[in-house]
Amino acid sequence: MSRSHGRISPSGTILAGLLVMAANPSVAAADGPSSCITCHLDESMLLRNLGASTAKRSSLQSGAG
Amino acid sequence: MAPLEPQAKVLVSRAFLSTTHGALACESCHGGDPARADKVGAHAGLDATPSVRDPVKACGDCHGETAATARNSLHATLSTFPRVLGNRAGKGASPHVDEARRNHCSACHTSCGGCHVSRPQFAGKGFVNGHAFAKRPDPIQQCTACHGSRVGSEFFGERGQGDVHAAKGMDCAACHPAREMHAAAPPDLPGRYQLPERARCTDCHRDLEVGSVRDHAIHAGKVQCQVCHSQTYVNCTGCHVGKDPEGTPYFQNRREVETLKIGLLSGDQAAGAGFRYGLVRHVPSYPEMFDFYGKDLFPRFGDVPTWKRASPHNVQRRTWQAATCNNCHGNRALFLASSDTGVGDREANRKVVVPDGKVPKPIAKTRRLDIDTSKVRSGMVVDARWLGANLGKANVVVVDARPRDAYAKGHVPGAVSLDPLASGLRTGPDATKPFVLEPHAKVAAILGKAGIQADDHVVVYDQAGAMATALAALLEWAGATHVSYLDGGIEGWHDAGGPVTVEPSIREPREFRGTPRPEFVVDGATLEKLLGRPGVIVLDARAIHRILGATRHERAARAGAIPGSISLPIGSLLMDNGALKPPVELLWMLRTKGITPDKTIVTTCDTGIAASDAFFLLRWLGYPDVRVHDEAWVVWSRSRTP
Repeated sequence: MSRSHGRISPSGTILAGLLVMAANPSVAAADGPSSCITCHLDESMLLRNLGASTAKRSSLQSGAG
Repeated sequence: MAPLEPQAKVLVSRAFLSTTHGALACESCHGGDPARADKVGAHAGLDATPSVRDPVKACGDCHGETAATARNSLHATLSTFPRVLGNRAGKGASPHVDEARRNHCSACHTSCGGCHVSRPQFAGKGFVNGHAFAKRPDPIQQCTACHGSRVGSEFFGERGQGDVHAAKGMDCAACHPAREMHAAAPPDLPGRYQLPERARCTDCHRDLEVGSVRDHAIHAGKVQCQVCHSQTYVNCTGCHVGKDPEGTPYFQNRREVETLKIGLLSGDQAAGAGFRYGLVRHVPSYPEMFDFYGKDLFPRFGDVPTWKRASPHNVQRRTWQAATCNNCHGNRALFLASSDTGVGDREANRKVVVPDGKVPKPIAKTRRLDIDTSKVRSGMVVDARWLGANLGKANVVVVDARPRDAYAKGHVPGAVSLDPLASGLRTGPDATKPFVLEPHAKVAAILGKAGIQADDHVVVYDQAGAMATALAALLEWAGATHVSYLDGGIEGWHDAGGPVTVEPSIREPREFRGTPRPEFVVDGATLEKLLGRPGVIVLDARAIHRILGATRHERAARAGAIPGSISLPIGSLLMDNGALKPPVELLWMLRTKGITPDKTIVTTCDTGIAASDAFFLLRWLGYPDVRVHDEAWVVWSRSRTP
């Protein structure tokens, strides 16, 4: 299991992330490098990038146990 | 429990990053491509729930032993389901049985992540605490998110009084530790009660046979603890399965019925139990359960009981059936009878039914309970038979307190619709004081517009009792002189063969002309003065998780409870389908809590509804001085500390 966390990833990864961010402003982070954590720490960014709930649960479903 | 918003489901907290798991690279558990900043690219190959697919690979590097057994635990495999269904299907079972099981029964399995980091899949997923891992699962967001409609409701007092262990602040893991939850289930395990690591009452309550409680010594080895220590619980009459128009599988409980039944345990049900008499609950199985997939899929349905050993999570030290010997001994209704089984499952339950000769005989000399029922205001409750005989009389006004759409689907003929939450009788959620009673003049105008006059005999009903008794309380406060609650509500009406109609009933508007009863309601300032006074009881009718501060109403400023209040969830006064227990039983239960008629009782809750329910029902039971704290916790929490 890797100990090189996505948010402190090697410099090459950071650079690649920054380049992609620049090319894709809809997911650009407000600060810091792009990685899993950059987006998943930012509620407003998640809000912009996630649509309605995709949970596949029927409206006819009862509660369980 | 409301589902999380999509962004809240996957929002990681900064605090997580400082934890042991937070130091790991995201992709080491989840895959994906952290070098990509676009959503699609970053999520390519992502496994959002890695412990579902392979718990050993996901968690085993650090939690090797646990992951190795947990992958075969009952939570992960639900291995008893195929066994039970297979027994009912017999040899050469149709493949449709397995297809249906995978589509419906398997929806409830969970994984390491579903107990330690996220809500389980059945509960809609999403991080419980910003992706922080917790050793003990969250009882609300994890355990009872799945084990909700029976275990959760009973444990936290959304039905009945709740469980004494919950009231003491014990969580699920207190009785169901990791040793049990992570245990590998043997492949041939007949049922969860045969898991060697299962929780037992005697894990904590030891040496009962030789203790100071005489009844323990008498009953140990014969009777399950819960026979004496459980309250009534719900039984499911059948699980209807199918797929909705979008093709998404679902299951629906056809009907839930609150009872308490003692059965005889034998075979798999008795193995390792250490007693013969145990509580039994009707499980949601019936021969046509999987008819959506094919006909006659269970030719051996009669081989497996549908009344099965149960351990309701609503334990109380003192219960009605154990209040005195003959509440149980000789009480045929408490023991499962052949008449409790349907035609389809009579054979299946042949051995569980308690024959007359096996019902313990009454005890000649036993304790008297001395409950005074002479003050019960019997006119405040009517049954379906009474309503059938009096329907259409000039001064009888029937009011349906269910939501408008339920009314539209079928209601008692002549009933007018008046939903107490949607009729303007109370302030809205955004008011300065949310959910409180509107001024009397406005309430009187709404009642008059519905065709109600103060001197009518108003009969209110609903589905489960909470809205109808709240409306009944409001009518009394407004000055109605004769208000009755229909025992059992619309279900009781159906069961009695009462007709229903979809034709809306509209009464001629009248002037209500009621004299208000302000003494029935107290505000927060008045309650503050009453707190701590001798002879005053503040009865909090909310569920236990509110009292404990584990949850709060979305409009409350904080979680908590009014200091010195006594917890008595409204479910202890109202059964699941709006039926009422006999007054003698309720008066005994209230006495055990010290809630006696010689005291001033102020009822409270979150929004005034449950408090109003308790107000009406205590008045029915003959309590002379009951008042509703209408502002309730939502307003109290905003303006007062504590």
